[in-house]
Amino acid sequence: MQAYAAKLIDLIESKSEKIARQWADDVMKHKRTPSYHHLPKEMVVEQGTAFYKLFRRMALAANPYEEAKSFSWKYAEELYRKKYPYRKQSTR
Amino acid sequence: MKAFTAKLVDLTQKNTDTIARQWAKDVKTNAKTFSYHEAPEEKIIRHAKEFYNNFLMMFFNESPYEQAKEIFENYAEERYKEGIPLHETLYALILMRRHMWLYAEFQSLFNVEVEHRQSVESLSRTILMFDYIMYVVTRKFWEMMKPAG
Repeated sequence: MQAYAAKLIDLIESKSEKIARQWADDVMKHKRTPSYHHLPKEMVVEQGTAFYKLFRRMALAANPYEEAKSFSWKYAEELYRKKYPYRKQSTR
Repeated sequence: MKAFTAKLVDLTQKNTDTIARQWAKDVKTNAKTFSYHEAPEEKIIRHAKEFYNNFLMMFFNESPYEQAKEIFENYAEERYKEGIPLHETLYALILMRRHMWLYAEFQSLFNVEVEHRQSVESLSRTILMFDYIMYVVTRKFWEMMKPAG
């Protein structure tokens, strides 16, 4: 299980930008995330990349919940300041 | 995928009462679901049983999102009117998913090596169903929190 988890973490970290670009393509046209449709693509990709890079930090953290909290708090605050409705941040 | 998912659904369906009771014990003591601590136990067990029954109906539905919308907007409205904050409502749902898996794991449903691929697929489908529910619940809360007018 540990070996598989490590492989997944390595993959996500090494391909974080590629995954973030695929996510950005999706979220920028998805009907449940209209607030993302007119944002600058590079800004959306940057958000996605920062999010995917969190995985290793969380996996190695002694307390993953605290690690997630500190990251998510900043993420939520930044989006809130930019006035995105929060219901559009966790859809697929 | 179908065979294994059917096993998971069947196990959950037959043991809804046990899983709902284990969830209720958790939610009544968990630090992240404080608003549930003083709630009458039998009432929240009834809610959880209704939730699991509705959730299981979604599993084989061709349009699970449409069904989630139909059922879980109502679930969101009830929690909102009870004064449960959104973050606790969502965490209670996360615990519902966890208790479903914990029970299946306890019953060794995921332990047969040959079925690992199928079990991963059924877990992915479970996550997708919960993602839809979380979205619908959050959107409903958002609508109700908006100032009138």
